[in-house]
Amino acid sequence: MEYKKIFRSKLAKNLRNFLGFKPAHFLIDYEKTNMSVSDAFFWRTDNTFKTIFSFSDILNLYFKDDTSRVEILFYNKYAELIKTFKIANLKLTNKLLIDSFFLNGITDYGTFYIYHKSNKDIGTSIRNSCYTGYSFKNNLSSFVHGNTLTSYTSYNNEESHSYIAGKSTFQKQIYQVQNNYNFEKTEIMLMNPCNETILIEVNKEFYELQKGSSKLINIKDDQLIKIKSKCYLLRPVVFNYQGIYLDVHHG
Amino acid sequence: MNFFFGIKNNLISSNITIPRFQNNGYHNEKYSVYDAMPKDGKWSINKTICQSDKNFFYIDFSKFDKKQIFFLATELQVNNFIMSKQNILSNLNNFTNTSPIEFRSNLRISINKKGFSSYQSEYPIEMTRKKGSILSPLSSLLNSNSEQNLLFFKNIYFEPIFEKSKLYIVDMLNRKIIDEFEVSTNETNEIEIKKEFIKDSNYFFTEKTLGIPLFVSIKNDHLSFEHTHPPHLYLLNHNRFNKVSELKQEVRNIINLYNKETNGI
Repeated sequence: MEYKKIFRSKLAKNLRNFLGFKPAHFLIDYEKTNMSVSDAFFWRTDNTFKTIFSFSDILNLYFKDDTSRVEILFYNKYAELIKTFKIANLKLTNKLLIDSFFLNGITDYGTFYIYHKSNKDIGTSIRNSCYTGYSFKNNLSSFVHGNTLTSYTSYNNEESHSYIAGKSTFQKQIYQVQNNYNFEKTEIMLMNPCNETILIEVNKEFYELQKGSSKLINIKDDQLIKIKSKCYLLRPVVFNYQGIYLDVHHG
Repeated sequence: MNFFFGIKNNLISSNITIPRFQNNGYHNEKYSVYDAMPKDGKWSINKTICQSDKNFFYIDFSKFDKKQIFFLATELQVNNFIMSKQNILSNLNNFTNTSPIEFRSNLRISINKKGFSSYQSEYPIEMTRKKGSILSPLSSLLNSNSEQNLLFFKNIYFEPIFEKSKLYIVDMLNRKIIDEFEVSTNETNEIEIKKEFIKDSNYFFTEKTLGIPLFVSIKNDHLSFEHTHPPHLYLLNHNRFNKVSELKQEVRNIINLYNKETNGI
């Protein structure tokens, strides 16, 4: 058990990633309790988009925590904080409309994170993978769940860690999305969940992404999406368009 | 080894795109697609007739029975399985065993050749061996402003049997059962969710059957299609399964009370 604890420590994880031996995909200590881990979610208010964020009150559902509340932090595509939104009176499942009005007139895209807060010693850490729905031209939202743990804070705000995705030192990782893209238009949204700038290659085109920043990339004539980077888990959210119809799925 | 599946009804059709490569880019074209379904207490397995190219198999699910599932294998692996007279789904190869990201097909639904929606889909063989219960919120992925809201509950069980059990709609806040439905193993169980059921405190709970809950909303020929996660994925520490068991026991207590009141059991 002691060996396992050492193997899972943050220092050991950094060493494993440096050596490329049994790499850790997330630099997170699963022994820590009372932490709220968030995926990186994308918001879009560009090109008539509205984003609906759907999430559960996990602390109340599982732990009957009447002090449960959330803090949602919004960042622009350059990973600069643009809004903090707190909700105290939670329902068991909640929906938040994110449009340009909510973001003080911004019509663009970026990321956001949800952190659960509590006054109690819950004794367990949680991860809320939530769902984001994207409405194009005021039509029905197409929903996707979160897919990459990116940051965490303690319930009492005393501790926080950002951009916790693991990255290799030498070898580039290949991630080829297992779908065929034959639509009028396909875009992918990527964000850098690592704590350093990374170089990303998407279908032989190169992009430099600073930590926490996001990028919307148009997939031109390719029917396959191949992503290379040193991040162990760099998974896109894919937007497929056919006329006025939209499909959003995580890659 | 992963299985793949489709869904359909009188409104919705689906297409399954199964890759011939792993998500690290490794190609292997020696595998073909086979379909399987329970028939007379046995697994009936056939080579799937579908379009393909060097990267994908393309399955038009309208040509198949709702119960049919799909997997990748070589002819030799399938023949050996049939010769062995095993009557349970078995691991035939490791091509679809990938980590950290699972090997997935794309399951795309469409309506009236207009709206479409998809997710990256798989049913791992490990899950076919298990029985259990699922608890999942209804309102996260459904929309009371939509014309129609559907829950497809997909189960694949390793034995070729159709075992019935109950699925309940539970109001977790007021601790009461709203409705109940029958679901079966080795079926894509379809349940229309009434608008009044789409409330923040309403969850669905399956008593004895594991599976993948798939939520579909339909409005003006636009679609939304996504699955929810099992509850233990929301908790990160070693005690998470105990905590989930406690929560499920709470639901079982509500069901027991409901059964006593309605059936006198």
